[in-house]
Amino acid sequence: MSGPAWLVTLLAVAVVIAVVVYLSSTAGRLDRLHRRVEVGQDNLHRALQRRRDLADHAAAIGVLDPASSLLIANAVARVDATEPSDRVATYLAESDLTAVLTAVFADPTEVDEIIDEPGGEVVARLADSCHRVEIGRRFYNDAVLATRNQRNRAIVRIFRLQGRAAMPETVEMADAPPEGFAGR
Amino acid sequence: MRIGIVCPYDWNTPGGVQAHIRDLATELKRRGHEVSVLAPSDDESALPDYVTPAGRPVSVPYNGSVARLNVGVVSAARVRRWIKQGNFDVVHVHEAVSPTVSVLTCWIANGPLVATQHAAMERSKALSSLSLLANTALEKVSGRIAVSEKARQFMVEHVGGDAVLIPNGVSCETFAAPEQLPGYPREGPTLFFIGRIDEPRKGLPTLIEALPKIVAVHPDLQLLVAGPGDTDEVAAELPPEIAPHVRFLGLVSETDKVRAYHSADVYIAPQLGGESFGIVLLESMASGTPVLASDLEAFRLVLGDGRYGELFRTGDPDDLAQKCLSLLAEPDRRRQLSGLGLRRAREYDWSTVARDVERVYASVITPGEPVSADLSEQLLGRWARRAAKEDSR
Repeated sequence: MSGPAWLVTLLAVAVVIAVVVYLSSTAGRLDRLHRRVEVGQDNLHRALQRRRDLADHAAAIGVLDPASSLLIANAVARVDATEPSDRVATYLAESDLTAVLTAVFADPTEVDEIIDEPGGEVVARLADSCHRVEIGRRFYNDAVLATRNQRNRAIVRIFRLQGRAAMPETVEMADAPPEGFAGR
Repeated sequence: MRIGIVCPYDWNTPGGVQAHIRDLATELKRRGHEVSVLAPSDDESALPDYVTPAGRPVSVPYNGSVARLNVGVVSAARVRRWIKQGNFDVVHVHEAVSPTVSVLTCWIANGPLVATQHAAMERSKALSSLSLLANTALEKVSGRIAVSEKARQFMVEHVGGDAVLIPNGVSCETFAAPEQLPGYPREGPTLFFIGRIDEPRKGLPTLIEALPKIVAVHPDLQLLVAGPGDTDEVAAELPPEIAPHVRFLGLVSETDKVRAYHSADVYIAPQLGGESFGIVLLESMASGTPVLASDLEAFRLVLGDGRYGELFRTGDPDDLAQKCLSLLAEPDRRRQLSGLGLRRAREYDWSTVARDVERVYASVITPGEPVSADLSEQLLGRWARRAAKEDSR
């Protein structure tokens, strides 16, 4: 083999190795991003579940007035009645629960009073769960957007580096904690 | 929870990020968590038992000041060992957009990562180091925290992705200790400044420039200056009529810092910029000492636009002197500010901050799946992991 041809072969091999390393590390990055999405989704769903449980509990034990209790119990029941696969309906119902909680726990001083009553501790935990829902959705959506950005790159689409993972979608819902829960 | 926290800067050099991590770690431990901190350190014998050394720091000019950073071959090994031994539920890195042990940790760690952004850097500086470093590191971070609105905007604009706003904390209990430095209170008013004395950004020159006017009215005034830097050099440059009115305390212990706050009638924060949050303001307020600060956005926010402390035009010694003189002339106003400041500081108490940080941790962890150290996956992606799996079969 003559000198230049030998060099060209070597170069070609080096380029191929570089491309393979690049592709595999990109696939690894995507894999991690998908994992982040998965964990984020699990955590968001756990946070939503916890909020429903605590809201239901608060409505059941009589620390709130009957009208508020009824509203909350109803909103929770409507979420539970949705098909989990129907994302739009589920998050719409969760948004309704947010709206009900926002209306019931609008006043910080009232909230302080309720929490000081016997059994009021559940409301303090409900406040915590509302904050966690907000944080959980923000982190989940961050992961989704980062993943979608990567997946839209040409190199990922051409080489199908995403494997069999489904394209993740952001969760759109109202999640701002009630005014009365601020600073809790 | 088992929590690992990574400090990017030398543990033995006083600084906002170091203090933040120390107080956060202390509060989290008090709340029943197991906490381990990984930090670069010059003197490994001087570390508290919860700090693991990450190697020796090196001095690097960064973001307009001299930062002592640590990255290196030894650090990588130490990070890996720390993660493996720690078996953490969550690893919390700080300032992961600068080339530090924080970024290194992001690269090595696998699992729930939280990152806190303290500084809001300027665009040009940020972009050069960011695009390459931050993207690969922050992409692995599932929960982001910003300590100020400015830091949060910085993250949204330059890093991509939102952050939860959790302001810095102050330990109200520590700063409430009503002790003063020996010999204080003295005759005549006392002012106090703390910060790196040889770093122009901290604004000491503005304060020095304002002093003659204040001294003209209060010939018995003293300015206490605390903080690292070459005291002799700064002292030598003082105008002769000012020199007797300035007392340099040098690098002070935590206890003496609290005492110094309590020894002063007014705390002066003449910073020129680069501050994303005014922790010194909160420390002063928690000590009950009224604050006079430059009107930087971060300071205005903490001081409620002047409700909890006085503001002067940033970098304007005449305005500083004038505001300072009127504060010194009004003991009632000082007493009022002292009370308001104490109440304001409680909103930033570490117990509140730690609770908010706990919520972030809870939002990223997976029960039973601790953080692991896996550099091979970082380099060779899925294939390396698959090979390792087959290997173990």
